[in-house]
Amino acid sequence: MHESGKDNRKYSVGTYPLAIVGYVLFMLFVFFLYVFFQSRMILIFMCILTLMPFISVCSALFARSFVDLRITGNSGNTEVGAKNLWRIELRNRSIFTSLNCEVKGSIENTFMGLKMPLVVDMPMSAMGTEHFDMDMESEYCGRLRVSIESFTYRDLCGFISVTVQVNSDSTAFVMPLYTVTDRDDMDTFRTGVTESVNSVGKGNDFSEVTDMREYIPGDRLKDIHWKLSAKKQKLMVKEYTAVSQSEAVIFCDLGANALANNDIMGYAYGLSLAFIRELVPVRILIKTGRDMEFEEVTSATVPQLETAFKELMTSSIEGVTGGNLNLLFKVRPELRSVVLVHENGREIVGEVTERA
Amino acid sequence: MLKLLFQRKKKNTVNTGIKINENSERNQSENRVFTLFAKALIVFFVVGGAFGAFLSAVSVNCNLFLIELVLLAVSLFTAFLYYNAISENVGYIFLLFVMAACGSSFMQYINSGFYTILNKLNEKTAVYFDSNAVRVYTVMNGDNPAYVTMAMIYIGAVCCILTNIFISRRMRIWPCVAAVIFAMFMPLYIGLEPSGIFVVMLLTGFLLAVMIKKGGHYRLHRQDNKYEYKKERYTYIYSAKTLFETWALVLVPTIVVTALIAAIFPGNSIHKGTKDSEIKTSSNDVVQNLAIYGLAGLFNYYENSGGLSSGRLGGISSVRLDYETDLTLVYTPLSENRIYLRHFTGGPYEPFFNRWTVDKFLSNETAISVKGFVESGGEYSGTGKMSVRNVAAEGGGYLPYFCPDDPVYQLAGSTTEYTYYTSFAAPTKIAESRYALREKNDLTEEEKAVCLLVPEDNTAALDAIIKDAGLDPALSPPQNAMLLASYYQANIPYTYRPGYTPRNKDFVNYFLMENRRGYCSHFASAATLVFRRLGIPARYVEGYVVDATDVVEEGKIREDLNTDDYYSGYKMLADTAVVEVNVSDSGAHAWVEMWIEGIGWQIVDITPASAEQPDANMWRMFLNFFNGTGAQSTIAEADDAATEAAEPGMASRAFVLMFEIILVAAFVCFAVYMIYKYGGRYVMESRARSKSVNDRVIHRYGRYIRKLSKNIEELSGCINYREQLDVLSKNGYQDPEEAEHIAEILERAGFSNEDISGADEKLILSMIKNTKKVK
Repeated sequence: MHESGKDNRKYSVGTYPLAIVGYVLFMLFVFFLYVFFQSRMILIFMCILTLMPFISVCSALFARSFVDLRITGNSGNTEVGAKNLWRIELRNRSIFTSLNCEVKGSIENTFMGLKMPLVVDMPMSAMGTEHFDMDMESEYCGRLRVSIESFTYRDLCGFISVTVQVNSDSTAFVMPLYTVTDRDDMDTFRTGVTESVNSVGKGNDFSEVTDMREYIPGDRLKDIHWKLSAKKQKLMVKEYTAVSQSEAVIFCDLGANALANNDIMGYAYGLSLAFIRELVPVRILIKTGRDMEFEEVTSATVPQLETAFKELMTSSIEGVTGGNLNLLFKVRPELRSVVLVHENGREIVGEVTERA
Repeated sequence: MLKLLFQRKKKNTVNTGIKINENSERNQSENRVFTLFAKALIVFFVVGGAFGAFLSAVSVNCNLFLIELVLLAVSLFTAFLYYNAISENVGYIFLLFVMAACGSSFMQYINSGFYTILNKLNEKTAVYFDSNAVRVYTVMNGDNPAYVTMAMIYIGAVCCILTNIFISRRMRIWPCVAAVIFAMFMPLYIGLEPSGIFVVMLLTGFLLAVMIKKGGHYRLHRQDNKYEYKKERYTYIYSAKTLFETWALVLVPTIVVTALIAAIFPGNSIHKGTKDSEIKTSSNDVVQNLAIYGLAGLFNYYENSGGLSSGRLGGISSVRLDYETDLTLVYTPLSENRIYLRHFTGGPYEPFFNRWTVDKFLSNETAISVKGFVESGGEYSGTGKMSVRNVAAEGGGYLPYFCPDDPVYQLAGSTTEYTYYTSFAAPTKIAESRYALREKNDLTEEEKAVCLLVPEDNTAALDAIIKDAGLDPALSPPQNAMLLASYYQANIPYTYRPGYTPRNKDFVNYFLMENRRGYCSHFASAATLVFRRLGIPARYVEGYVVDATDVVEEGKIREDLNTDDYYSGYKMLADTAVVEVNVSDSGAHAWVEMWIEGIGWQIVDITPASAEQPDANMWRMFLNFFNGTGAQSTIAEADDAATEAAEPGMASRAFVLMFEIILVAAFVCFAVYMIYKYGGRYVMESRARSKSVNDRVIHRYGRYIRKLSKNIEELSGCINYREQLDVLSKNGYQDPEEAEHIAEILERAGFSNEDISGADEKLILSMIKNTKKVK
């Protein structure tokens, strides 16, 4: 919030020469009418025409310090295809009004590296707040960043425009819609994750109970804590954290196709969830836009998985092309095998791939 | 298909995969009634301000408050017509009916009110120009404020409707500004100032419209969504709050400035002590012409339906008489001689300006002499009374010969009685009598100088005529007058169609040297200057004449009036009575008054005789056929409805009314039919024009298919493009080889977000341009 006289925001003033010339010509015409008629009515008209530009321009310049703009989002997280409300608020604490305030900014999916400009024309009412609400939904997962860079308003006579640089932004994560992985598929994946298979065998449980929570459909029956459930009169399940180093490594081979990338992320999310429900911790890797750099997150519980995906999506995959598995094995020599999630033809598939 | 396109437009998909629904269900709407209300107020301020300014400047007696109230109501009504498509279409048809019905029912009152205002303005203009040439329109019941109010309400309502179209749709104020300048031109020119409150209204309305236009958010929409997505930006549609705040920002300084200037220059004080600018002074003639003849006066060319021109010459191309009553005279005929009624007397002639300026002296010495002769018991003389009623003639005096009184300025509808003196004795006898009575009968030097004034520019033409006609200063004035009359009769034909005098040419010179034909004004003007050139004081006179035949054919004996009250003395007619004679513009005439030393001013009427008929006024003939009254109502109509009802024309008038109703009804039906048939298509086409190339192509294709469906019934059963194209191919309207490609383009245009290429568009357009079978 900027107080009067303490406004340090950068601003610039533009002029509209054609409008000024047109106005001056009209004033000359009115002056001619006055000389011709010598009428009081024309004199009043001339005075108003002389006065109005000063009022208009000065008040527009004066109002600069009294106008604030910000953007807010109503929630930090959303899902692909779900609506999310964003609001641009234009607050004017002066008595000056403008019939056209152009707000310029951008909407960016920082993860996918997609950006679109956002231009909103808003009214600027005196001593009031105007807002523009955007019901926004994203088809792709990622981190959405809506930022406002500047706003430009014109004076009432249309002679000048004042552009004020602002820096207001708001972000939200769009979580991928995951696909439920088939049990058969899971058997296939387990073969590539031998250490994990051992860990779930009888007497070889490397995990320990870290938390208790309510039953969610899909939870394994063996995880139900019957005694506690009887006491609480509702089904409670045990949450495990893997204590061993055994984990499933999922590599999302993202490419240039945003739609496919979105599906890959969704597939990986579903697969990770399936592993976690089977108490197999997961390590998820993606190739970022930077050379030779892979973003890596690990997760052993469902809440951790969500955080892990958010962390993944704070990086950018802009410029990434597919087929990075070999590079992954090269820069991560400790990996014996990974579950490769990638686009195969028009399908998204997960395959256990071992180091050659 | 169109519905699908619009639905698709609502959500804006971009390559980022982000969709923004601009019509958020949460709070992105505003009741558009408020914005319509704001626009209505602009219309009201502009129209109400302009009408108030005009009426307050001209100081016409009317109910200004009621006018403003009705204009506000009409402004609101017309603005709210744009609430939705139904209200717009139905509302305008309703308005058309109401305006037509009001116009038809109250035409006389509206006309009367309108002409009252014009008369008032003309009166003030005449005072400003110090001129007696005033155009006066016939009105009913004098200056009735109710009629003025009615007229202003009606005209104001029409202006509101028109202004609303400009303001509500496109916020175009300049046509209104031009109209206001046009309407206020004359009041401002003659120094009439409008009331401050209306100036404030007018200026506020104007400035606000300009500012809203500059703001760029004024387009008409028919939904309550506050924002729309247009040209890759989200833009607000309504913000009544901001509009009203802007209004306040404009209104406050306007009120302050107006109050300050009104305090410094109250009333018309700004004009006091200030001299007119040179531009204004130089425009006086033009504006005076404009005031008298309207716009045509600017070009020195104006239609004339007869009547007088008050010394302004050359603008009439051909005389068209309306034969409507201009004056009604009540008097006792004494002889078969023509009776002259003097209206305008010209003093100096202004060449190239083509006008006679008023003779300020208006010497009545001769009339005084005749009066003296009659009162002293002179032979063959008498005293008469003449009642002159101005029905629809120009305002001014209509003085019979010889009346020593000053003429009474008569507006239409007024009646004046003059006492005149007549003598059939030889003029010399009257002169002798005067000398015996030792009365003065000489022109003053100043008056003589005016009546001998010949412009330098005319001398060459006059000398040529004097030579041709054999005139000579040595001859007596009557001899010269007779010679000139003979010359005119033999060499210069009388015509009702002389053509107008070209600009930059002098009227008299053009008549004498080039055109050599004309009507009474031409002959009298030239003769006046010829006599002056010969050293005979002369002056140009305009007025009305009544011939004995007019009395016989048109006159009505007033048996209710006593002859003795109207005349006493010598009569040439053995038996006479008081008669009422209507004088129309066919009686308008121009003649010369020549000063004969020892006798005084004598009428010299040297206009040659002619059998030519004036041009027919087709509109007048049409109205006369139905016994209508034309554009100007007459006093006779308004005064006595009972008399009118007894007239045989009443049945025809009902027919005219019926005819008008049928005409209006037919027009409305036609308009409704046209809107029904083409309105929807026009709207769709105009919408399609502003859409993307895909929408345009699909729209044109749809129209093409609809057109061909009339010939090929199968087409109406087709459910997609491919089927349609198959049918077209089968019927020979489409090349089968191209059909597949065209179907593909159409599907892309119809269902894809991707725009089709220019070449594809051309291909489709060339296909649909040709509605004939492919050979």
